[in-house]
Amino acid sequence: MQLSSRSDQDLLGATDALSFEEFYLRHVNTVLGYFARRTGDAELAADLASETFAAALAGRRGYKPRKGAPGAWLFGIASRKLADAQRKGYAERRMCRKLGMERIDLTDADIAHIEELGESGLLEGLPEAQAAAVRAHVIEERDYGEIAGELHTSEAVVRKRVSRGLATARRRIGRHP
Amino acid sequence: MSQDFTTRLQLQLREAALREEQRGALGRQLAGLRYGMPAPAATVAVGLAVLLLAVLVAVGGLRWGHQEDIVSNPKVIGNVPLLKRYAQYVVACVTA
Repeated sequence: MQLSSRSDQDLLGATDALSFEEFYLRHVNTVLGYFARRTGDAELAADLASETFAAALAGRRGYKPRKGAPGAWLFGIASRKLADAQRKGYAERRMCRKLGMERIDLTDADIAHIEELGESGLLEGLPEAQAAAVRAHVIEERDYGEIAGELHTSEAVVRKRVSRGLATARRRIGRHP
Repeated sequence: MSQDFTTRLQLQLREAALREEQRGALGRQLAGLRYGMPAPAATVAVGLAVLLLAVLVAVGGLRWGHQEDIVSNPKVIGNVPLLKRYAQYVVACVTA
């Protein structure tokens, strides 16, 4: 599907199915990455993303531009769904059921893709040296000494890059998807 | 080739959106009310309404039955002289 130049507000304000589909395509990876980072569980992230978009579809007529940008509105729904799931220990499927949507079973490729979305979001925006150090130590689980040798630098420098990179990522996760 | 998660979710949302489109205005309004009301709250509200109705019917029924069962107290309806000589009177009590 070709994405148009219409604004998110236009897409949400329209009542046709294609407009909502385009809105979904613009945001699905960000929403999946957000849930994957917050839950560390691809299955749960997928269920929460389905429920979030189902709620957005059912409630799009209630969206008012004065309440904020469509993206912020969508993440408002997402964060409520996440809080609900953390409280109950599972993702609700109330809106999906109401809209007649079935639960989607994930393939291994889906799980890998969702985990990748979570990780790429974590490293996004970090300086290249910090991103490389975090990827090597946190994601690939390699020792500081090994990474330092590969990067031709000291272990202390690698530790500092990982520490700063993670601190930046934590701050970002804490205040924004 | 099997479709990935995002494509399958896209198709499900498309079908749901098309069903929404096909609904009438009244249906949308009713659905909006339903979506706005959490399911447990709706269930509790309906339950309370049924309970209230049952209480009203039961209380009304009891009162209705109670009125039919009222028995008046004995009362004096007349003095009948039985023996003139002693000028005694016996009070006859009759239950109405």
